[in-house]
Amino acid sequence: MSVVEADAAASLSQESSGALVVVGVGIKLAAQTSLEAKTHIETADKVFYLVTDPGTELWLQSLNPTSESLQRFYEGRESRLVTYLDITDHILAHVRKKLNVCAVFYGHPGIFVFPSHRAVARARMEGFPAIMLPGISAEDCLFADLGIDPARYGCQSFEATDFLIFDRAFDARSSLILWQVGVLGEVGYKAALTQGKLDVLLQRLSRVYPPEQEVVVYEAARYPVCDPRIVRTTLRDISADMISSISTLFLPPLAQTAPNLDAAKRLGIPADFIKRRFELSDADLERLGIN
Amino acid sequence: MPALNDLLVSVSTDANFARRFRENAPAVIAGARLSAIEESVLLSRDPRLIQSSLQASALKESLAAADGETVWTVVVVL
Repeated sequence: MSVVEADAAASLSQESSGALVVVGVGIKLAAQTSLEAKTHIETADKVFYLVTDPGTELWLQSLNPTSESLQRFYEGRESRLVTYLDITDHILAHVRKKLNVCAVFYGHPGIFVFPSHRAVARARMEGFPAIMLPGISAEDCLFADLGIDPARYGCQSFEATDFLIFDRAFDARSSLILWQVGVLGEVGYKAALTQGKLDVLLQRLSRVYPPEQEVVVYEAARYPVCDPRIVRTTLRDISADMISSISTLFLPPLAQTAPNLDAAKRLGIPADFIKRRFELSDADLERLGIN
Repeated sequence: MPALNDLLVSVSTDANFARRFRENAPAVIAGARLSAIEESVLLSRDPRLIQSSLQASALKESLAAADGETVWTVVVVL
C-alpha cells in the first residue's frame, strides 16, 4: 500500500467528512465478499451497487438499507461511456455531501469496471480519501475451477474485441484468456454472439494455433448450489451456440520450447533445478553444457 | 429477503447450514418455506432458472410493498 493509500485507509476509519470505498462482491452470491468489503458495505452512509444478479442485489439491501442500484444509468444513454461518466458523477455527488460512500461492483471492482477507477481518481483529485479493495474476479474462479497456475507457463488476458481490433501480440507458449467473447464487437448492450463474429476471432487464432487446439468455454458459478460451466472443445469444433454473454475462452499453452539456458547459467540457477523445472533429461543437460 | 435468496445466502455464509444442505438438500429445501416452483428450480441447480426465480421474487416483494400512490411502468419484451 502506498503512503497515499495508507493515509486514505486511515482517514476512512475516522468520522466522515466524505470518503469513498470501492469494493467487489465476487461472482458467487454472498460467498466471495471479503470480510473487509462486507464491513464497509454494512457501515457506509450510502451504498451504490452495480451487480448483475438479483440475489446479490437483495443481499446488499439486507446488509445496508441505503443500497441503491446504478442500473438506471444504462437507460436512455447513447453509449456506455456516457453511462460510466454519469455513474461516476452520481457517486462523487454523494461523497461531496460528506458521506462515507461504498460503491459495490460485481467480481473485482477494478477489472472491466471503468467508473470504479474513475471515481477513486476523481475523489482523490478533489481531496477525499478513496480506496479500492480487491475482489474475486472471474479469472480467479477460472484458475481454481480449471486447475490452472498462471505462474507455471505464464498467462495472458485480453478483452476479446480489444484483442482483435488492436491485433494484440501474444505468446502461444503461455495460456491465453479471452474475456467477453459473448459480446464480441458489441458496442451497445448485449446482443447475442453470431457465428460470423466468432469466425473473425477463430480466423485470428488459427494463424497461431492448430485446428485441434483445446479451447475451454468457461463460466464461473453464480450460486452456491451451482457448478461452473466448463465446455471443453477445440478450435475446429467451437460454435457460437456454445457461448453465452458471460462466457470466457481459455486456451492452454502450446508445447514449450527449450529454456534459455544461457540466461539460467548467468543467473546461477543450479542444473538440477533447471532439469526439474523444464523437464530436461541428463543427456540434454550434458549436451547443453550445464553441470 | 425472499426465502429462496435467504437459503442461497445461508448456503454461502453459514457453515452449519451449508453442511446440512450438502448432506441432505431435499430436507433443507422442504423446510425453507419455498413455493413448489422455487423448490424445483433449486433442485435443478440451473443458474438461469435460479436467476429468473430470484427476479420474480424481487418483483413480488416490490408489488407487496406498493401502496395506492405507487406509479408502475410495465414494459413487455416480446
